[in-house]
Amino acid sequence: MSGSGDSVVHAYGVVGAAEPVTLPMTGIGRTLVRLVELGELSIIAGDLPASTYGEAAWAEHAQDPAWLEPVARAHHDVLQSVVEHSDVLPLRLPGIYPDEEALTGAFTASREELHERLRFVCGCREWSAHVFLSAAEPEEPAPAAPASGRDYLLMRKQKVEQKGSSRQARQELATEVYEGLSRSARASVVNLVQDRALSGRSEPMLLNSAHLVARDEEQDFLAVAVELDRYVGAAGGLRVEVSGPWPAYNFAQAGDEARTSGGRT
Amino acid sequence: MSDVERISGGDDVALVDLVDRLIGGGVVVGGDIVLSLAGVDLVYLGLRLVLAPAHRVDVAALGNAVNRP
Repeated sequence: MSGSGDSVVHAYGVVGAAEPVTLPMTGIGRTLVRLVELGELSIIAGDLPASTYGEAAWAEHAQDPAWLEPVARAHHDVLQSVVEHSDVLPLRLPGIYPDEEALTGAFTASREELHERLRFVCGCREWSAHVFLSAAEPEEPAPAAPASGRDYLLMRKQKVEQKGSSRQARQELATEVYEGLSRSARASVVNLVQDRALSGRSEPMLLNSAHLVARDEEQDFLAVAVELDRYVGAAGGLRVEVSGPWPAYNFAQAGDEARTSGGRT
Repeated sequence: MSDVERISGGDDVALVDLVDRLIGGGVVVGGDIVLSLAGVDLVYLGLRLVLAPAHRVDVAALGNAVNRP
């Protein structure tokens, strides 16, 4: 099919050639999934019709959730099924190449870096943590009527300060969650929090982080998460939610973990 | 009682969490098309905003369908 122009090659991820990998039968658009071998690495790939998934289709539909959702889910499902049993380096979308020659050319040029990155995530999977404020802001008792304009202003000022300090206290608790989880992880990153429209939740999100956890330390990581959830729940009405295991999307690119030190450079 | 959920993939995964990972994360291996589509990154923030409400509607519709007696 190489270079025919009717199809493009989509790359899902990279695995070590020495490791046995069980692939799902099909991926995006129910097309077959196969391995392209490249020395010590194998690329999980598939041929897709260019008219539906080629460059022009991406340029036209990338912002359309109805088009993107099935593509994203199918890409993820392939990687998710591989990461259940094997180490895999997930590729960012869009991962399309005009033909197999272009695919192997691009991957050959990045071979060293890919190999190093695969070693970095070796034996680990990604876990995500979200910290939410679990209840709405506590009701404040009705204030006594201020005796004077000066009293009123004083009261307003105290109220604003209280609000600020409780917000700061909650943020510090969220930071404690991040640090606690990071101690049980090989690497950790902080991502942008999702605003309420995006998370679909009425409660504000205070932390959105990803952690690279060794497979045999996942139970410990989860135990720490449960403990932190209890602690910040009691101390500040926060809730810790963990999801995973994910393919290591947040740790696939060299330098990803440097995002952790965002505030301390 | 634990507040920690374990999600094993599939439809439980929120689309926004997927997009954050699939377009915001993952390794980039440059090819002509990938490079020419680098602009996709630029529309990513806009896309993040578009996605959630659309997905919420789907979930609600699904919930109604499932709960119908």
